[in-house]
Amino acid sequence: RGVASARHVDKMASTAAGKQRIPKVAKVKNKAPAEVQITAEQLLREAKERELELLPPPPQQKITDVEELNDYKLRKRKTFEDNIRKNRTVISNWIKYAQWEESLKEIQRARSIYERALDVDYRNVTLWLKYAEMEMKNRQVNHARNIWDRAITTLPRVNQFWYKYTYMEEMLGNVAGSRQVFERWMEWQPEEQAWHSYINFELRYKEVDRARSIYERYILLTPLVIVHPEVKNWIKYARFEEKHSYCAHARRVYERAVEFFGEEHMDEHLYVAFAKFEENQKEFERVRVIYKYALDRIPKQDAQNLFKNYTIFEKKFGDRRGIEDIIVSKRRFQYEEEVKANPHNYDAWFDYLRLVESDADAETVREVYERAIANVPPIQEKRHWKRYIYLWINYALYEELEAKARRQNSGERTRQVYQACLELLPHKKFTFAKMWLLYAQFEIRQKNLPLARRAL
Amino acid sequence: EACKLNSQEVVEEDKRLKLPPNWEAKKARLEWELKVQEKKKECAARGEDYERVKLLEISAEDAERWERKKKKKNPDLGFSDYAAAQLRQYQRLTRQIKPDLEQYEKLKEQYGEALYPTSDSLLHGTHVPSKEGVDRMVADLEKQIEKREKYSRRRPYNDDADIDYINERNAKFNQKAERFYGKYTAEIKQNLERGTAV
Repeated sequence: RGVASARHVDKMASTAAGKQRIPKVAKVKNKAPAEVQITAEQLLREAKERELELLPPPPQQKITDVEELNDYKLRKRKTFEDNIRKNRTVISNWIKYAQWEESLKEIQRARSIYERALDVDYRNVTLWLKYAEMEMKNRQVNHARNIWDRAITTLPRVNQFWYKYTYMEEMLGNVAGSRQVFERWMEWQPEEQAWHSYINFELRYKEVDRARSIYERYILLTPLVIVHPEVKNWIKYARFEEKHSYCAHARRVYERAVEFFGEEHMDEHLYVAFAKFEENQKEFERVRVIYKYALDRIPKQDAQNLFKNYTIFEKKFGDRRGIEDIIVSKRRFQYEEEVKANPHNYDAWFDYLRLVESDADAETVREVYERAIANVPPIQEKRHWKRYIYLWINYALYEELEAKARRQNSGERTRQVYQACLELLPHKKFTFAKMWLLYAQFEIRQKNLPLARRAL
Repeated sequence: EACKLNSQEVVEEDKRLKLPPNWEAKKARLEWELKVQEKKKECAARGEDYERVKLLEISAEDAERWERKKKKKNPDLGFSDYAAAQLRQYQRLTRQIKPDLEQYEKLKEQYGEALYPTSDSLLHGTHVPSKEGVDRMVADLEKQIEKREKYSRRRPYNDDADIDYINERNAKFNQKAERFYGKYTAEIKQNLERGTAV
């Protein structure tokens, strides 16, 4: 603080002195901004064009003899080592240095550089990868194996090392070695993809039995908490068996899967896959049984896929009744959902009723109607009631027509319906002439003229 | 009589041989296309949609088989992280391996049980690779390196693009910032250009 103020005082003194000597220049009379202002863009452009940091490229030197080569190497090495000394942790300094040494085929030096770099940061994945790649490129197989072993021992959860190690062994033709590395990897219980790559490796050499045993180990492995991936694994196993035409095995796998999951953790994908398999085996009865079993037990929300596939299956192989059954139950379920969500959504009710009428028996229909009617519109406004009234009308009509078809004496019931409806309507607020008219007409149809006259 | 028939046949056979190799296939395809055109005209005449008619006529089994035949596409979803990129490379490489099964049978006879080691078997470190093996590995590695070089391309330099840097390093930094923040700061930049907010 003291120093800064001292400097300020000095400056003041000098400018004061300057002012005394050249007073006119220093005084600023006009403090308005100039007409032409410089812009930021202008400043940037000028700065760039000055190109202060652009050095001319060093002159091209042709190296003619050993001395010059050594000189060149010395210079380069010095720059590299300087960079490393400036910043040890920036791994690219190390890697560029090592790559340069490799390009000179100075493998021993490159090795020492990589080792020093690993001392700085052994957890850096690229460093290990570049090191191993250098050894491999220069055909130093045992050195490379050494590096890979160290890498997988110090950083076992970095999957790249394992993948590249097994790939190298396979390329070298050392199938047994590759297998051993895979076994070592599986002991760490890695992710699914790792298991799959092992299985694919075995299949590449057509070792189906070994593949099977790997599958066995692996399906039991992933913990029970994560249910979904597990199901996928079982399904993959079964499909693998199917692909190699071990159908009995595949069936056994599916059955085990079903037992294993029991009733609490049911998953529709498993059943869908199981059914598809049986379809391919042309065992249609079993398919139907599977679907029914699954549908009974899985709550309807999760069973969308199941429904879809069942419908497709029935369309392909089932008879008309089966198809209708399943479609109806599906749509019925859909409507249940809708009306539960919004009891005043009369359109939904209408659709539902139409469906039910076309299919089910009188009791269920009546039930549904009752439920529909129970949802009295909340506000006493004609608009809302209009739709509601239609419900009543439909009900009455249904009773009349349907019940008549069954030769029951439904006259009573219909009358009851009409009367209930009329009571319900708050006639003080508004009237539905239609209602009255319909009632009258009905009574006429029932040849009950006095009642009709009274109604009107 | 027979001579004449014979010579006719010779001429025909000559013609047949001279035909381009795909003649059968080409003819079949042309006929198929003609049929499709006819059907389309019919449907238009009747006022139906050709597509729907076609869909109705494909049976379910055929549809399934068709879908299965479609080749699995594997588009590059951009960079997520190095492990995923390496996995993708690994899968591509292993898909291209064609293992030498005869060699493998020989190995089986040679090693016997030891071909299936456990994780702690003493086979580790005893393998001496043959020259072909090493050559194969090195060749594959070179191919990988070559492919890697092509991953970043040089972008063209726009002479008349705005200069917002003073330096090459600064230029790269600005491009990086633009890449990450550009979509969020676009409006702010427009406001600054205009001089006032909208």
